[in-house]
Order: sequence, then C-alpha cells, then structure tokens
Amino acid sequence: MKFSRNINSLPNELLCEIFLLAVNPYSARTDRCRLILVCRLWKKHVEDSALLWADISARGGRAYIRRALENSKASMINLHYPEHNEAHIDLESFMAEAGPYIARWRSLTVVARWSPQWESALDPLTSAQAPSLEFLELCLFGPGYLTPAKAITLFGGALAPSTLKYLTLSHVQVAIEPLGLSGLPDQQFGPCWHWVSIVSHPTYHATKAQFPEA
Amino acid sequence: MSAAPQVTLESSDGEKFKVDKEVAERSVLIKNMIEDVGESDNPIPLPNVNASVLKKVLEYCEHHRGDPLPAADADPSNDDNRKRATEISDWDQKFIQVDQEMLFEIILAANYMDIKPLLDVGCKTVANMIKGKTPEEIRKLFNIVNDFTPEEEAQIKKENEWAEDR
Repeated sequence: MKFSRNINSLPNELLCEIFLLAVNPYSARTDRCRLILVCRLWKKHVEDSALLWADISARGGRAYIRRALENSKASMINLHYPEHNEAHIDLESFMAEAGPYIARWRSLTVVARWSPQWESALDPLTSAQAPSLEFLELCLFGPGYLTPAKAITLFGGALAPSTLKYLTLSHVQVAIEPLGLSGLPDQQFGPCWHWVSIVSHPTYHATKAQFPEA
Repeated sequence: MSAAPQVTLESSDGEKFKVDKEVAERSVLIKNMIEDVGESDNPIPLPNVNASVLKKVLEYCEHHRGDPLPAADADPSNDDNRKRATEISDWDQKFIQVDQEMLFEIILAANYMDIKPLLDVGCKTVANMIKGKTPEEIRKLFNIVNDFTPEEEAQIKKENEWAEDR
C-alpha cells in the first residue's frame, strides 16, 4: 500500500489541535517558540491560532505580552504573574497591558511580593468588572504581607462575576461581602483573614483560615 | 438469539468489510449515513479511506464498541481538555504504535469518519512526539525542511525572546 502522508499534509485545524496539545500552559512561550522555529508553515499556523496564545505569563517581556494579547484575538485568556522574580515586567505594567482585555480574562493568578503599592498595582482588577473571570488567585509574600491593612475591593465594588468558580486568596485581605458570595452554603468568613479558598463550583465549598483573625 | 445487525463498508480501493452496525456507528459519519438512507444491503462507500487504514480504524472501533460516546461540546481551550495529552490508555498506545505515514492516515480517516476519540488518540500521540524537542529535533523527526534563512531564524528568536536553555 502506497502512502504519501506526512505531518504537513494534515489540515490546518488538525495541525493546530496538535500544537495546542503540545503546548504546556506553564511553558507556553518557550513551547510556542519551538514550534514557530520549525518551518514557515508551522510559524504561520502558530501565529494564526488564537488559542495557542491564550496562556500569557509575565515571564515574557512587555513586547511579548503585547504580542500574545493581540494574537489571542477573541479567545479567553489566562494571565499569570509568577513569583520568585521570574516576571520580566512589574505587576503594575503587566496589569496595565492586560487591562484593556479584561472582558476576555478567564483566569488571573498573581503571586507577588508585598509592597505599599500592591493595591494600586492590581488595577483594573480593583476598579473594573471582569465579566468572564472563572479563576482568581491572589497570593502575597515577603516582608509586610501580614501588616494589617484596609481590605482591597475587587471589581470596583460590584458583585463577583457569575462565571467565577474558583477564588483563592493567600495573605491578601479582600472585601468579600461586596462580591455577593454570602449565599454560599459553606462559607466561614470573618472580617479579616490571611488565607481563603473558595470553590464555588460545583460543590459550593468554602474554607477559611490557616491564620486566625488579625 | 438473533445475530447483531451488520453493515458493509467499502474502502477507496474497493475492499469490503462486513462489521456489526454498533461497531460501524462509532463513526458519526457512518451513523448519520445509516440514519439518512435507512437499512440497506448496499455497501457504504468510504472514498477517502483505503483498505489497510480502514482495517486499522475498525480494529479501534471494535475494541471501543461499548464505550460511552464523547460529548460534542468539549471546549478545546479548557485546561482539563488540554491535559488529555498525557492520557492515552495502554491499549490505545499499543494500537497507535505504527509508522508515521499510517499514523497520519489514521488521523485523517478519524477526522473524515468523525471518530472523535480516535482523532484525539492520534493528535495526542503526535503532540507527545513533539513535546520537549528542539526545532531541529522536530524537523528531523518529521522530515521537515528548514525553509528559514539564518537571518529569519535569528529574527524569530529575537521576536520571541528565544533562549536555548529554556
């Protein structure tokens, strides 16, 4: 039996599906670049495939983040600001770049060193609604994170988006009441806490408190 | 006890395969064709699949004949779905251990015949072959010619902030 197939004879949509499976969300930038460097055809497919650009980490520099935000087109995006000085851009700049795309945020993970500017650096998370957000994780570390402070307000004081399924706060004081999560059956909130994890889907489970109230 | 209903499939090179209807209907294409034309003794033509590939595809369908059918609305961008890349059952892994040409033929046949689980196995297998390899290793593996000039390659690396040690 005579065959004449090779990988580049697959239809575009299958090649893109394979690329999607081959790219790890946690090493998306490097994985994508490996694919782009194979040949012109692969470069075109990777650059045209919005889903391949949906995982955007601050490990890339500003130019790279802008490119990923644009190439992700209308896809929902997953934003990741990493810990341990891995970010190649400061938090405020990262959030400013991602801000105009807030309607497409599916997840946001921020693991950052505490600073007095922490709250303002989170803007627009604090000032605007993220209508499609499903996963939010905020984690502070470093000297000062245990300093009692005014709880920050998310989403401009509006209710949490109905899409929100997971909320994890570590050493972050957030005004929970305005989020409208009070109806969750298992909630155990106090006025101030240092570690909160809420899983609102599918079990509506909430846990609180590795540290007592401040 | 009556025998299970059967259908006959005809490959692009004219070979006929008589199989249980339940097995053939793992293919959404065939299932729809049977529903559209009703029961018939006429062979169902598959002009895009040759006999050796169809034989292999039917081996897969026979093994998975009782499996639940996949959801039609799976979101490919969902993280859970993306984790599928590492999740290939032992039987499927052995089944898909074929040469590259046959692997791509199976993927194309699964796509044409609309057999989503088989398509997933094929795509995952190729993705796993790609993972962790350098561009040069990928080119060598799939016999792809590097059609970039050195200058273009350098520019791409610059644009993507490529670092060899990453």
